[in-house]
Amino acid sequence: MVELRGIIQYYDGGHKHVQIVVRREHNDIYETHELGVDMPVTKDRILAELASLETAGPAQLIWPHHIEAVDIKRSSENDKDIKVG
Amino acid sequence: MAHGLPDYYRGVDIAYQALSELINRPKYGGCKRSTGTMIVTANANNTLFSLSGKGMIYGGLVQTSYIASQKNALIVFYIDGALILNEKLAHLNTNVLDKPRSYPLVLNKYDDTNFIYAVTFSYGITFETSIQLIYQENDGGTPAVGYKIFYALI
Repeated sequence: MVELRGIIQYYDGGHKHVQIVVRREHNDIYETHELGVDMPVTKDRILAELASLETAGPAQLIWPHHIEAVDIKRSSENDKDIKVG
Repeated sequence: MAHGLPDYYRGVDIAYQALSELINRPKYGGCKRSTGTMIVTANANNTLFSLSGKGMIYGGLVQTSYIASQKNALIVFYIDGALILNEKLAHLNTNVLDKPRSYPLVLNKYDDTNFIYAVTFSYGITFETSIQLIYQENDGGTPAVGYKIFYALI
């Protein structure tokens, strides 16, 4: 069993980095895995990575409902919809 | 244990007072850090960091040093899809929001002569689904914006 606990996307050095945080069965220690740089984040891509982490037979993957695979953009030009609070 | 069984063989009955003391704490994963630097796009919203998950922010930092003023830049925080913080650096300075834990965003450095700015996040901001940290550039510049964020996923 591999359970997804988070999807992290951040920019550093001009590139977008993507990581996932997972938990395995009977283990409270969370593992962080690098997925790559400048890659689009999609549910299929994350599921493929989760499946590759399952080493004990058929993949048993848990994707909690509160986690979404939403790709972020580096910047949104001329987007001034966020006003001073 | 008064009834002959170890505590872990039965549910905790607070009303019954089967236990004299109940220790409870949130279960968090280990502390994580994300850090980076971005040369931001002028006059745009620049997403520095995004996370989908559930947990708590321990703290963080956004800083910039540039050749011109960034006083109109906004530090923007979305929590669970809702706009929680959208603070202009100059407003933080005007309102003297520089006391740790008095406000979710704390101004640590505001030098509009040498153009050095730094803000930190207060401890303990929780999130149920997501975080997004954005630097909105409003002065027509392209500074390198550095950030660190410390958090736990549960």
